[in-house]
Amino acid sequence: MKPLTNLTSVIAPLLRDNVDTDCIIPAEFMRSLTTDPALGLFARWRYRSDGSEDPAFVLNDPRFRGAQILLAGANFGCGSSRENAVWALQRFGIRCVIARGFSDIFYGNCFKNGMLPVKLPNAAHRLVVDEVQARDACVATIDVRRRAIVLPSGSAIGFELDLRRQSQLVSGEDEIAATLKRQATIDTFRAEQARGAPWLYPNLSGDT
Amino acid sequence: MPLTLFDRIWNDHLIEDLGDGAGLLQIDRHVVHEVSSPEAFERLAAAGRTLASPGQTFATQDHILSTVPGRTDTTFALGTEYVRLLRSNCRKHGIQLFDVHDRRQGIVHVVAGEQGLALPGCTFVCGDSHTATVGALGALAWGIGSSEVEHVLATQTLTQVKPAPMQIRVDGRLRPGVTPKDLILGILRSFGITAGVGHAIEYAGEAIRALPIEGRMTVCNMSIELGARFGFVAPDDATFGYLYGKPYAPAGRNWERALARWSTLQSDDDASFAKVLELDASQLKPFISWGTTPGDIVCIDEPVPDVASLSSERRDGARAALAYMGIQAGVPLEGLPVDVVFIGSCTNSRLSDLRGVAEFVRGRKVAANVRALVVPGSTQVKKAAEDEGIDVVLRTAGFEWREAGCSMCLGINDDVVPPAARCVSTSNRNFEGRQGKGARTHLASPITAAACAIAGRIVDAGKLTQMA
Repeated sequence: MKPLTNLTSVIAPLLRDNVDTDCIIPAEFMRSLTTDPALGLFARWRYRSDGSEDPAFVLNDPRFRGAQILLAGANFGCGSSRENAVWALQRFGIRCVIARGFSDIFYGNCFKNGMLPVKLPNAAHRLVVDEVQARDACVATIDVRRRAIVLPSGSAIGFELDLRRQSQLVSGEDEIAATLKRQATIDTFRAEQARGAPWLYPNLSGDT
Repeated sequence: MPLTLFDRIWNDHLIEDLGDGAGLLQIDRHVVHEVSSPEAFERLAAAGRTLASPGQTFATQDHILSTVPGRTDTTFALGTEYVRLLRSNCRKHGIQLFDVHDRRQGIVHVVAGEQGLALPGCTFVCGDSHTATVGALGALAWGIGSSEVEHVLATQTLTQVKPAPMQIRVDGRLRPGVTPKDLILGILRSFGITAGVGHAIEYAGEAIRALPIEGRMTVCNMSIELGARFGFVAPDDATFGYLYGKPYAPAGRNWERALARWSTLQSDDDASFAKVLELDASQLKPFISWGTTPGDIVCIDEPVPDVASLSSERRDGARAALAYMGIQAGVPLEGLPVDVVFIGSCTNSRLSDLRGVAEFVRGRKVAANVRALVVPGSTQVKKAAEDEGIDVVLRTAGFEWREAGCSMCLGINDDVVPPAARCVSTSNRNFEGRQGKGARTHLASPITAAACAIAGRIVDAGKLTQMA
């Protein structure tokens, strides 16, 4: 996984609440394993009915086309568990989403892909929104080690991120490899569980 | 220390505390489907890894597989790649697959119950957000992403941040004509779509206890719509009765041992929850959604809320939702013409749902302006319904009788609602474009959906009966 330590980019504002994963990538863009998920990103809003880009949509604005930071409202990524939502954002170039809140599944999926979801309380979120709206293009730096967003005005907005996930992002660690290092502990646990709850270890025939 | 049921099952499966609120958990049961598993299998292979415990993973074809009667791998051509890939991945790794023509095939959350894959006190995961459905059996069941599917395949464990235990208590009795679907829509109406974020919900109280298992599944199913990954009901005699004799449930001496263990699976009376919400079941009515989030719920004859009456942060969303849905604030939905009725999905496609619909539509006809589909949740449900003649009643009334699958709930195959068409759906999500580009979804119970199909417009089933 590609490590994420620092990121400097213009912030693209998509200030809606409850942006669900069906909106992030509609199901019809998941009908082929070879389709680039970035094509489906926000397809309902990004394209007009004739398939052309809607210039009114934020990511079609030349200022924000290359944005790596997306600023959203509350409850971003609610709905389906489709990791395609993270892949679509990522393939488009987004590496960080700032929001007032995230769904639990989307939030977790981000870290598995080296994407940073920044959850801000209302007041801090407001500060970012104000600065983004006050400028033609607001270029900010996200510092994962310091857990801060540094805005062009110079103000630094701190955010919460637990140490385990911070270290995952910074190191680009393979979580499965980390778990496999605990194989002996896992084996001991399973042996004990199988003694206490043998019905959880069926054979494959279906007639336990 | 007093424990909640959630803490109890969590502790039983905690292999190692990873710090920062996360644990490494043993996963007892894992089910994969054709759409969220290909990347996981591909990365597993790329890393040269194999399955840690193939006997604990099961598979079914449901999401993109066609539901056209007599369907095969290729009926929905764009899905063929997924269907065949799941088959080859299962063969390669020794995973039990409920394949296209298997009598056990169906929507993962329906199959997990009827095959006895989900058991009280077990950890159960699937790459699908509605996995908490089988929390109705007292399992700790939750939806995961594809990377986590890969993690489970490779290790039979999962790294999980522990959510906070929460209780939703529903006392009182549901009035006649008010269904389990109305109960969960009522919870969503009262508490909103973020009430459960970061929490694991235990549903309790007299009204929950009184629900049959399939009704509890409908309630637990929509936990994710409340924002919660986990939702469950403590197991009781109804649970044990439901599971007894199921193909993958324990049998013989193991059944006795399991039962002794399962009988202890409750929250302690003095256990503390991070959050407790309460609702009176006797106040609930048949509900329907008006907007584009599952928290936008009204009674069928109640006016859609005025934007001005909403809190300031909900106004922009509500305005956009009204425009998208083509409806007016301050006016009830009742009477709006309906184009499509979809009865199915992991929320409402089990035998009890179909029985209720058949009873309601017997001797009636679907309105000429409506396309109405009934999509059984599993091939087993379909067969059982046919044995009772339910298919004949439905087809005679003018419903399409389809093969089992997820179908129009998510619109990933060709079961889609046309642009700007209005659909009354028994599924779980009314997001913009969820059932197809431009589709306008109204979530409701199977009885309400059936009544709307007959009337050709949005109607309260109780009123339709009185008029007949």
